[in-house]
Amino acid sequence: MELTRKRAAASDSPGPPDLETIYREHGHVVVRRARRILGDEVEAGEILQEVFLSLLDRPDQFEGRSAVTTFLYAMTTNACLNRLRDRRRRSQILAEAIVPLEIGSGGRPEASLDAASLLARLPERLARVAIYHFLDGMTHDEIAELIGVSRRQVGNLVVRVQEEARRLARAA
Amino acid sequence: MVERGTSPTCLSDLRLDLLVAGELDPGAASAARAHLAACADCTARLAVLEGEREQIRAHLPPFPGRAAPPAARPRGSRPRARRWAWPLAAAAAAALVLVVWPRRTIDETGDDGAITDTTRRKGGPTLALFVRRGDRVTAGASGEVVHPGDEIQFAATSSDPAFLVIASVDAAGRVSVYHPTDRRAAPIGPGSDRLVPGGVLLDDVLGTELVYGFFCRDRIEVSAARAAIEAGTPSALPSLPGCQVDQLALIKRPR
Repeated sequence: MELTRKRAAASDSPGPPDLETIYREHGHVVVRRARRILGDEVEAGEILQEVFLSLLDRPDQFEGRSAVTTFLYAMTTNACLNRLRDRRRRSQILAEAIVPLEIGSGGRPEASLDAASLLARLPERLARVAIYHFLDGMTHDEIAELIGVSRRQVGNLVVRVQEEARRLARAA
Repeated sequence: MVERGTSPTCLSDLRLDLLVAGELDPGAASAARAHLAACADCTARLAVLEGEREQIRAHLPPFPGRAAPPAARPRGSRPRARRWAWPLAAAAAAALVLVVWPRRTIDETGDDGAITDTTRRKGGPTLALFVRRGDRVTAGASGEVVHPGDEIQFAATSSDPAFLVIASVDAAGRVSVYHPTDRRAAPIGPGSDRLVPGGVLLDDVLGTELVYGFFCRDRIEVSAARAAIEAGTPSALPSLPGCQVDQLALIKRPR
């Protein structure tokens, strides 16, 4: 289902806005979304910078195939997932290498599987679906448009997320 | 916080954002407006989103692309590191003074001496750090506030094998080489957050200490990295042919 005005296809479009205009008009979407996913105000500011510096570096990432807002939702989600994976990797180092070696406390990281650690462990596509479905409460149509699959496939991916979450929870 | 309405027909944040931005097609926009007119939950959620938008816009930092015009910048110099003081939510954080100093990675110097300055380029080499303070070890980031006596351990990420030198310049302008202890750069393999052997005990020179990771194609002399830092200025990343440089800033304050 065609839900959004796609800039490249809109005959009345005045052309893609420049990046600074997008920043001023849509930057809040990036911040709010990053804050919600990462739960950290400072990191949300860093994600805002990361997203727009990346677009400055490679403006062709926005191909005009979707609305600017939709594109920024997807790009912010990916940037946040990368950051969650970095956190996870660093948590592993802390738990496995530095803490036992230097402190000798024998302490172990929390075994509980919170949402952030689950997202960091899920495969890329499933993690994005998990955010869109469970955090954002998007419809399958919206998710399908964001990740470029059919509505039916979204349903299958949501089921896979649930299965994977159960598996990871058992492992934890 | 008002969350999205619970009815299956309720509008997601994405749909509300698209509506406000005028990016829904006419049919979808009409349907969304009709739903809003009949749904108190979605109307409340829209009000929350609009409030957040105004709050965020009021504190939006300058566009990252804004830099000094090329004519004002000497040839071969690089833009000043961007400092961000991101406003923390509400007064809960009023007591904190938080400086986030974004890390930068630059590509090698080109033939014409021009420098490409970006933030972390995907796949580019990066430095990370861990801070040990007393019995606690935490993962740090560029802009970390540290204290004399803290111990620092670095980790390096590189997609390719490289030769690494880690060196810093403190607030007094003194250059120190942290890694390796040998006179030539140490090899590192590809990988993420590989711990760099040895730790660093921070001295009592307060202020901003800039730490540079030189990821080099060849096994350079450590003295070359030291010389590159000494030849630079605090506002410019050191330049060394054949090397990519990542920077971390440590804000050293009294305990």
